[in-house]
Amino acid sequence: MSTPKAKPSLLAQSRRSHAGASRSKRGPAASTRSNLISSASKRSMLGTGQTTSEKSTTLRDKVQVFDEAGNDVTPLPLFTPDPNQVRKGQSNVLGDSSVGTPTDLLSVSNMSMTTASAFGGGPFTRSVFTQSYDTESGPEEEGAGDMSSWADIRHKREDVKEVLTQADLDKIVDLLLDETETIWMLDLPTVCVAHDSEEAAIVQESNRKYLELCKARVGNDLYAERSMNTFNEPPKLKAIQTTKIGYAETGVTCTNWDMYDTYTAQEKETEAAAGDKEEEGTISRPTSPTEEDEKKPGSARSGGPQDDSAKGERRASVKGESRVESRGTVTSSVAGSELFASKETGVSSIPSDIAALDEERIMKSEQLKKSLFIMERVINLNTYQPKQALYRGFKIVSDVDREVPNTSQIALSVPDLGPNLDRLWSYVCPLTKGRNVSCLTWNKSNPDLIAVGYGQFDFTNQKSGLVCCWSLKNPEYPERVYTSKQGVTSLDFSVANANLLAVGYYDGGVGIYNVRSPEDEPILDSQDSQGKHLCPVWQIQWIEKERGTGEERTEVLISISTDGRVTQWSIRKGFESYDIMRLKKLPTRMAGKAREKKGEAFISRHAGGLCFDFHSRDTNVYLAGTEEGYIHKCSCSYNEQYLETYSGHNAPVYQIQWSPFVTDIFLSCSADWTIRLWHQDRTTPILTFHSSTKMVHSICWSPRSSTVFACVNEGAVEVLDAVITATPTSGAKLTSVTFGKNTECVLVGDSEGQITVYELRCMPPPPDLQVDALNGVIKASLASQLPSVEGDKTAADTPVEDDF
Amino acid sequence: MEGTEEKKEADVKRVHTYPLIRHSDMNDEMKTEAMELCVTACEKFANNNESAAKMIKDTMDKKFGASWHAIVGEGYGFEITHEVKNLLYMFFGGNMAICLWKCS
Repeated sequence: MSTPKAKPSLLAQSRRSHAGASRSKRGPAASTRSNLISSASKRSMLGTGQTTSEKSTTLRDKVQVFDEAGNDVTPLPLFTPDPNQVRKGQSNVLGDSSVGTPTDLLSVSNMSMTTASAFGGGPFTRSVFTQSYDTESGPEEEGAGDMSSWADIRHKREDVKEVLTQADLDKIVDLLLDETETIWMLDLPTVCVAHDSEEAAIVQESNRKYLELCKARVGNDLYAERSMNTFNEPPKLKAIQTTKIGYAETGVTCTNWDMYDTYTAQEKETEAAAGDKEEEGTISRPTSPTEEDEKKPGSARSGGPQDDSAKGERRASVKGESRVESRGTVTSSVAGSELFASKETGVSSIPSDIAALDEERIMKSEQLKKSLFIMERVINLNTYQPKQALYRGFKIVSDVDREVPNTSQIALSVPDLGPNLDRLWSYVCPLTKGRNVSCLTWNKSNPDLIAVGYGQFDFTNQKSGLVCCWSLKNPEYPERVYTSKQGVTSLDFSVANANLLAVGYYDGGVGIYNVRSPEDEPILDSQDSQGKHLCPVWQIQWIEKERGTGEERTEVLISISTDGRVTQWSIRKGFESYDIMRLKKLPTRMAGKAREKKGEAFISRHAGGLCFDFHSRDTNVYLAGTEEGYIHKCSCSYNEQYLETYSGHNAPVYQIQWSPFVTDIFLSCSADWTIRLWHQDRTTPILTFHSSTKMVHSICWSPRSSTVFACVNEGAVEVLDAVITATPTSGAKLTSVTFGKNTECVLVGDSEGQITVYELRCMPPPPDLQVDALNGVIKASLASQLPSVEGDKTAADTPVEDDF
Repeated sequence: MEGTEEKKEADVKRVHTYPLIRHSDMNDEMKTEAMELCVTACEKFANNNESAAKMIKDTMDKKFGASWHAIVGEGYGFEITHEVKNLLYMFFGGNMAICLWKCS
């Protein structure tokens, strides 16, 4: 670009001499706005041209072509050099602004370098501005453009000055400037409008409208940024299991002979089967190889006309085959029965699956449970039938074989031994093993059902408690099992609602179970109740009480605990407790009178209650046995004082029971090794039974005979009246005793979780007048007591026996 | 071998052209199908055991899944490991033994 640019600038200078002539010919053209505009728009071009022009001064002697007329006909570049244009434009401007000949003026200004006057002159700029206004272009821009173009020209002029010598300057040169035809390279009319012009408002309005239009246009290029996220599907694990693919190895050599043999053998078989048509479906049987082997050598031998080698070969092959065959069978049998017995296994495997499913279904069904339940009873009935018959008091109709020794033995033994106990069976199961039987109670409506509480008496080794309801029909496993965190210390079945079982716990809680439901949850629990006992509930009993005036009787639950309270529980919305008695401590017998006056400082003001029994007639009166050894006769009407206090025992009274025949008589047992018989009107015992040097844990009146009762001390169960003793074989301590309600049996619980049923054999028949019998005993004993108040066991017991 | 014997055998061979399953632990359905396939293949490629074997193998692969192996021939010995319930050893045409098993 530099060379073509340089050339025009030179040309322009050299052409100045001709410019004047050309101009004179054509005459000054009216200055046009367009000229000015073009010059203004090309100022950038000018800038480049001007910079190059300095270099191009050295290329002055550039070839120029002239024609005969001397006109410069040097081919002009298509691109008209800008400096000329500018100059022309300027000249035009000047011409417009000034009245005189513009060319002269310009030339003068150019040559004489009156730069200051020329440029600083107001008319110049003014004229330029006015012009530019006409062109409707931005005034500032136009003006700046003009100014720059002016500056360009000035530079140009300086260049010229440098080049020209003084002589040249002095020389008068005629310059004839001529205007060439205007060549428009670019016509870019300005669209700018001045703010203060008239059109400004219109233009602004239209601009605004246009902007709005742009915004409103549908599908315009206004991009809205939107982000999108694909969902990450949660990965899933899927495992598939196939049945294990089993592999087996087989090997055989197949030969034509083998084929032949097989076919022959099969044909033989089919012949033998004779009509038993087996087609291609025949599979090799385990027997066929041996048969084949047997046949083969024979046929080979009979084959006769074979040379030895052939024979040998055949034999060898036969042998080999048989070997292979046998091995095949071996491997197959090793690999599992699938190979030969594939059919069978294939068939049988499916039913086994179904059977497994079926089994599961059956195992869970209620029907099965019921069936098992019945079956269990049937088996137990079978096992225990003779003994259960004894329990019921039936004569055994046993097997003929057994009868001979049995009868003889009994015939011999029974009369010799007198009344004795025969162990029938024990209610025991692994569940109860090692647990202490703390209490026994019969169901009031079903005399075959006994509830047994298991719980330790010792404070130190407490275990969880258990209540089992055993049925006579199944001595192997309890019908109901209720577990509790605390040891069970007392139990009683309700009379009115025979399904309600009240349970007292070692921690003082009281619960009621519904034995109809096998659920292991009490229907009522006093754990959250305010009146909960603070100490073990040693006895609990349902009592039917008269309610106010009416005939109505309601059943309430009475419990006694070592915290000295006798509490009545009534069931309305949950438990409601009411203390019917607070057992107060009495001064000990040992304390002298002096001390009594002073009063004793008790650690606890209350005496620990261990047992109670309500009078069978008057349900307001009851007896309470305490740890001190006293037995208090109390009334429900007074909760502070005792009606009577019976002293005699020196150690805790474990159980009290009114006689079921004579309403004034009661029996108590104690840790002081004694059992005492009392009359409620006498504060001293009528009779004292002292059979061993062990604590008597429990007593029970016989329901059959007024003078018979059973007791258990730690080592033995004794039925007094006719003294019978049975000692447990194991080292277990006996803890509780009860008579069967409908049987001549005694049930004894021990500390190892076993309840043993003893049959009372050869008991004397109950007296005809039970009440009189007992009264007679008492009278006799009272009579004998006159000299000595306390009779020891032998003294007391013998007369009783003698009486009957 | 003597001519008479051979002749006799040849006669017998001709008789024994029906397919006979010498040993198989397949279930019945599969066995029947495989046997029919072997018969078809051997009849189609009566004088090209290789093609017959290829056909049997390919067809079995398609029908019962890969990978099946087939041997067709008159005399050979083999010792193979096969998947249980996927073995067939049969005779056909009196002098052709086909062993077909699956082991993938």
